[in-house]
Amino acid sequence: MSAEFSDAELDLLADVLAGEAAEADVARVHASARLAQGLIEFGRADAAVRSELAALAEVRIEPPAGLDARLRAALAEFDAPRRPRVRQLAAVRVARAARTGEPWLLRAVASVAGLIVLAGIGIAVTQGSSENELDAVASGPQQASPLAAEVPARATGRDYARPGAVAQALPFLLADGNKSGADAALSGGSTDPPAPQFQVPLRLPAAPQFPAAPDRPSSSTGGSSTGSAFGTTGGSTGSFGSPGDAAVPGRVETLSAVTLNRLRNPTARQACFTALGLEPATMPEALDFARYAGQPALMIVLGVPDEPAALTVFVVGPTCGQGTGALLFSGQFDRP
Amino acid sequence: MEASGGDVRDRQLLRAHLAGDPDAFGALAHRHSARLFAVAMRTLGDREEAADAVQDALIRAFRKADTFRGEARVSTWLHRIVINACLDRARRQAVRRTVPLPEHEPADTRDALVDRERTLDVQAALAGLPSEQRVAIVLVDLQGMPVAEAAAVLGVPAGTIKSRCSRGRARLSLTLGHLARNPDRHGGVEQTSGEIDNGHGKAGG
Repeated sequence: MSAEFSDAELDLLADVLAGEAAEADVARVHASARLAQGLIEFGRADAAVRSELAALAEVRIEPPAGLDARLRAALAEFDAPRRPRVRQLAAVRVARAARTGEPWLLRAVASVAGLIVLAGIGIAVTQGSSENELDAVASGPQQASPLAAEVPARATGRDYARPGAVAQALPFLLADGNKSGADAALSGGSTDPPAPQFQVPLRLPAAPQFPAAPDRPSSSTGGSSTGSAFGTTGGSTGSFGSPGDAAVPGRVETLSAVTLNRLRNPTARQACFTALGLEPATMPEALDFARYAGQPALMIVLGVPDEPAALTVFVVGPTCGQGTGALLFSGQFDRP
Repeated sequence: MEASGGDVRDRQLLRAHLAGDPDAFGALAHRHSARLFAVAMRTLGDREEAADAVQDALIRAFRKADTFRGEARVSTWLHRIVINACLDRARRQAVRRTVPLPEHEPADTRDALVDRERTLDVQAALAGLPSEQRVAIVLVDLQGMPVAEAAAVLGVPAGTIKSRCSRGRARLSLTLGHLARNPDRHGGVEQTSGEIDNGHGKAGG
């Protein structure tokens, strides 16, 4: 090159050479002897460069021998079991109503009647059963399951009724590495966290399975999170009522002796997922055998299909999936 | 956008994947993996990085298949995801601009050695370009992609692709200027001695 050019001049000459420059720029190049000479030289060099690039294009690039197998293996990681379908609870209810054709008032009356019957059964069971006996009745023999082995579970004993507790716990629950005390949760040990409150008989909300929940349990609001506590009187997102508070009206003692060990059983968890409107084979991202307002509770953390930055969290009581109101909290959170 | 036979098959596979066929996306990936790897390799200049980028991209495509709107070819959509994965990796990890040796070592003849040296020189010069110019040249000049399709891959007007290619080639001509003085390859280029600078920092500024 017989002259030096700035980057801007280089771009100008290239654009003129490609026929992509404005008329004024073309005129400017031709008005300058230095730029005009540069244009000629670049034109010649451009042909040489194209020739070199053409030669490089002929060099065949073979993919690594195992690339396809590696890709298959990587894609298998994301097969259906890892992509839970969180069905919209409102949609499930609407679809169910459409199928049955039942008026909502009739269904509501039937639900209340059912709950009264269940409450009666619950009291009777409480009076006559030990925890272990009821556990055995509820979930049958504890069996090792491939599903159980794959679920990352912890048993923190954390109380998720405290405001902000769920969001604070998510980074820890989703982190790899040490899961001390947690792996035991699904591998045969007791899942009940070592909290003294566990000695207190359960008082679970006597509300319907999805009591007075908003159509969508919650929605993510840009960097924050929202959730809904069920079985509380206030109904405010920020008001996490205590299901264990006997003074709260509308609650009855029911199935009080059921322990969280029941949800160690994959079959029981699948029934719980079904009750939550999830696919039975849903694979959670994390489980935490913890507490809610002092009572044993299982926190279930799920990915949200097509929203990789979001997580759905359910906190359920030990009776989840058994037909009584066990949904204590649900919400959508930003993935940490 | 007119769908070719290959694109029709690609769309069938994508639909089957969305319908739950567990093998469909693997088949789609297999159809394109070699070409996608070549693009990634030429963009990143490192085999491991390129393989990782293709893997990242195909996982993303697998998971986001329902976002494919069908306005472009499936291969265009896949190329776009791979290019983005490459640029992400380049930005995040400040990829080492290594220049890999050819897959098969050429015979130890003078011509072969000269060829190999030139290939390495061109690859090194390409790696030194701004990423947007490098990607445009990789797609158009090395992968033989039509300008319109490259524009669709990168989501920019065709004129921008032409401009990026010509600007990139202008910079390459500074770096590779010495090659033009020895036009003993590919028919060479008619060149007056001294017309092309050796390219070491002449384009200041």
